[in-house]
Amino acid sequence: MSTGFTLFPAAKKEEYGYGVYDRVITNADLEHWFNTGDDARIPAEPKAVGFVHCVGSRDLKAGNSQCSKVCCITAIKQAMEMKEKFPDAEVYCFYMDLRLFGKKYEDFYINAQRDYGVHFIRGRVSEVSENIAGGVQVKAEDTLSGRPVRVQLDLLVLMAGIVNNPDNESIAGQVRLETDSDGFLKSRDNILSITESPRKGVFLAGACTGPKTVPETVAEARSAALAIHSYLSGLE
Amino acid sequence: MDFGFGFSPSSAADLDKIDLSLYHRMEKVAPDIRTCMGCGSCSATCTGAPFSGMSLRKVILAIQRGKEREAREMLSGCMLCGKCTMVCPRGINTRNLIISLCRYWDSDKREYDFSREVEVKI
Amino acid sequence: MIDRIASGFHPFVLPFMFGMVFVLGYCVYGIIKILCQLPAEDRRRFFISLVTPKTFVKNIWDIFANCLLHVKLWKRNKLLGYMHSSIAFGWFMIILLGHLEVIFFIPDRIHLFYYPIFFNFFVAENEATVGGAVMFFLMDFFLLVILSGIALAIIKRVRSRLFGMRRTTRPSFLDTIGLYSLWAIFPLRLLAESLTADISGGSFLTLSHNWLFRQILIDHTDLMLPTWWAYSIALGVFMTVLPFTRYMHIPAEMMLIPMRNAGLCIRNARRGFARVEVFSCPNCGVCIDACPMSVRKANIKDATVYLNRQIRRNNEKRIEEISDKCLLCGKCTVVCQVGVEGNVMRVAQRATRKYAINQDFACVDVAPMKEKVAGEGNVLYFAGCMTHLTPSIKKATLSVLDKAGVRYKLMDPDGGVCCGRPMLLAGRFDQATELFKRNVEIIKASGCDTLLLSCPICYKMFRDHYGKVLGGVSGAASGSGAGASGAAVPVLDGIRIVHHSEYFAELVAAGRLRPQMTPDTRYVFHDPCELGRGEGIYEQPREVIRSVGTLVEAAKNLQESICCGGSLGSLSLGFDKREPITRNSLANLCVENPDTIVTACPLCQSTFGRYSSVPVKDLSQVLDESLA
Repeated sequence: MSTGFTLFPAAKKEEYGYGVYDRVITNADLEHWFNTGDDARIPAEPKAVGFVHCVGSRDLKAGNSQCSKVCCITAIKQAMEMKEKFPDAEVYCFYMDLRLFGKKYEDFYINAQRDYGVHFIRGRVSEVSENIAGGVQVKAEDTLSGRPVRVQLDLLVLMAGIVNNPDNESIAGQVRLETDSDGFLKSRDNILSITESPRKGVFLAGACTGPKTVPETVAEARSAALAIHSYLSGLE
Repeated sequence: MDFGFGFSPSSAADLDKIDLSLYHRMEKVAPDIRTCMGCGSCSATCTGAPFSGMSLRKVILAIQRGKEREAREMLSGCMLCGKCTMVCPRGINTRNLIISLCRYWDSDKREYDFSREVEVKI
Repeated sequence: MIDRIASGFHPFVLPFMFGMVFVLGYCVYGIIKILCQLPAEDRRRFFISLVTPKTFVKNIWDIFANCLLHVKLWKRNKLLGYMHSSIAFGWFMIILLGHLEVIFFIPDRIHLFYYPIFFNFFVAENEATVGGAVMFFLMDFFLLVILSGIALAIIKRVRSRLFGMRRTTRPSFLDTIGLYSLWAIFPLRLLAESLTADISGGSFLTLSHNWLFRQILIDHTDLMLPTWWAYSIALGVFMTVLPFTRYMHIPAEMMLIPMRNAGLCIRNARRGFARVEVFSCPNCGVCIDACPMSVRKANIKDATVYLNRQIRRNNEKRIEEISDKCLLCGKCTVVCQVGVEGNVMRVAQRATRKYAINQDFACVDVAPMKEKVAGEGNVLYFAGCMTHLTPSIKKATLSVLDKAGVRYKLMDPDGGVCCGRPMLLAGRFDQATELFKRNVEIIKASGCDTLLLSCPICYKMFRDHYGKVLGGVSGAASGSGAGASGAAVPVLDGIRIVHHSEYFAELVAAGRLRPQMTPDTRYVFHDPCELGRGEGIYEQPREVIRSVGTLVEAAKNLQESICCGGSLGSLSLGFDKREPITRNSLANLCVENPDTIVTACPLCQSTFGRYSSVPVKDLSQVLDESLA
């Protein structure tokens, strides 16, 4: 089984104003714009762009306690891309923690700081309001300096997190599998046999068991394929 | 005798020596205090902050580091509006925490004034 | 007619006499104590109201309608209504008729307390006379009425669901004694009067039983005296335990009604008026099913009935837990048959606390805000703390105002001062007043004539307390709690305080807004606690919804709407404990499968939005979307 994930519906975090303010978009919207150049919400010459990490992930209020794993590195990647497109724009990343665990991820982070001059602010954005100029004003606390920060932005990107596929419950029910407390499918063991379900002959791969990066997904897919092969050959 | 100046004590928090009795007391009445991850949402959204510099994140941290005086000052600026409760990603009942802090700051004894006469209209 | 016992006395009346004297003494003591606890001003008001003809008549009528006939209970539940009124009114009639019998037949014995109660033992009247026939018939009739009520009460104890109650209270030990003695009184009376009926007369019930006993017993007169003893003992036990059981509500309610009619309110958490309310609680348990927290079994013991019980026991730890957990939605107050104000009572308990740190708002300087609001525009919009976290409401509200051509200005575009209501609900009145005063300063500096609010929490605060702080027109607000009518919007100090639902309803009615009606969209309206039960605004938001689509109703709505679970009223209820409350409230809203849940409170919207599969919108959004 590889039922994948869904993106957190960013409008659920009402205080960020997705769907209310024109200048608030999600990571998926921005990626779409990178690929097609088609999004009226993105201004021609933005002077300041903000990224909000952990939107709908690590957030009990949004019903998701898990870390989405990919948003930190995606935000840094997208921040650098924005900086490439708009070299004069200031780019801010509002984060709670930066979790850059993958291979070369930390190098990316250094790159973003050193070569692109992306500003990293440790503080979760709590309120977004619209200003007269049509942009948005973001309120957060710079927890490192211990002072509230306020910044006017032309574009705010919400890093919507990975949440479980809402169909998981019904799909799992059909093959008598269980979902975990986070809504993802339950593996036999989260450390040693993540690709195996508690039921014999049912295998799991990718983001159906939790947020995954691409390398992890690929590795799990291979592992699952191998496990299936062993199972069918009766080697187990 | 106070000359208005003096040697400033070291600003380092010596974790071996600081008095954490207040923190431990709070752990009992409002166990939520342990789960703060210091994201700063509460401080950024705080209605009282622009006036008094109230920051619940700082209050919690100050108590954990034994800097009780700073925490006390900030607490007196809380308006109990509940915005911090709404935004906390860890689901901390911040209002309960603040009220408990204000109530049990000096001791964990519950104190009442039953003779108080005031028109209760809500 | 013969006086059967020449001395007019028999030792079996002693248990009854003991109970009667004890309970009367206790009540007199209680009344004096309560009156002493009242502040002098309240005491004076109370005495004046007792002799004012208008309130005097009202008191009599209210006591008759509520204590005896249980009119409110009838409206709520016919079966329960019958059960209670049959016992209460029936008993009253038996006592009254007993006295009439004595006055008619043997007036020189009227000074004896027990004569009307044990009339049939002492007096041998004959049903052959007209007076006897009528009297005995009435006595038997009301005894039958009471017995039917007792039968229902016994059934209710075993199967409360038959009476539409999912949960009832667990009686305490003394309550159980009181209960059983109450149940025993009337069957014993029937037995005693039946066995005596062939000597001192009876009617359809007692005579037929007498005939029956004569058939099956060899000598029924042997049993006569023991049953009179048993009857008297049952009465004596009931009246002796009464002050310590829930049955204390019977005398207490008769005190509560005139005090309420005199306009008294709770001033002290435990004494005076509050004490009368606590004792007036009949422990019926209607508040348990009404309480939104009861969806969690663990919270059943946090209902108002248990608060009253714990206050009687002075169990400070539980009193504190119960008062802190409550959402203050006010539903228990609305459903309460005797009018115990569960929410006010809890805030009163909160107000008794002493704090080591007291908030001080001297640092809150509103001068810059006062400068900003002075300017054009006669409508001042105060978004409030919660609306800042739901920008959709603010944006939609301003958009509607623009479309209606209203000249408005913002009171807190960049954050303001909290209205003070959360502080008030925490029982910290002085601090709340400080915050409130700051806001009043800003409002006055703005020179507006209308204060517009989209948050019912702020709205209730401003509407109920605006006049008082200014020392001007007080009490113009329709009051707190149940029964507040939303008909008249108070104008205080020249400034009209309106909630956006009222204001929009007016704009639509006046034709300044012409929403596009889409009958296919089905909306359900959630009555926010502070707006509905708090201020009696039910119709205006519904009018607005009817102008944009089809309105369907929730299973429980209006006064009985179920709190969303997000309330700021609760101090200690944790985030995870609120989820089942919210889900229960959502299920209640979705019985008619609406397309959209509409509410008029930012806090309700955020709370529902977290778990709802149906879109949740504010009234302003729905209206804004329908405007071209």
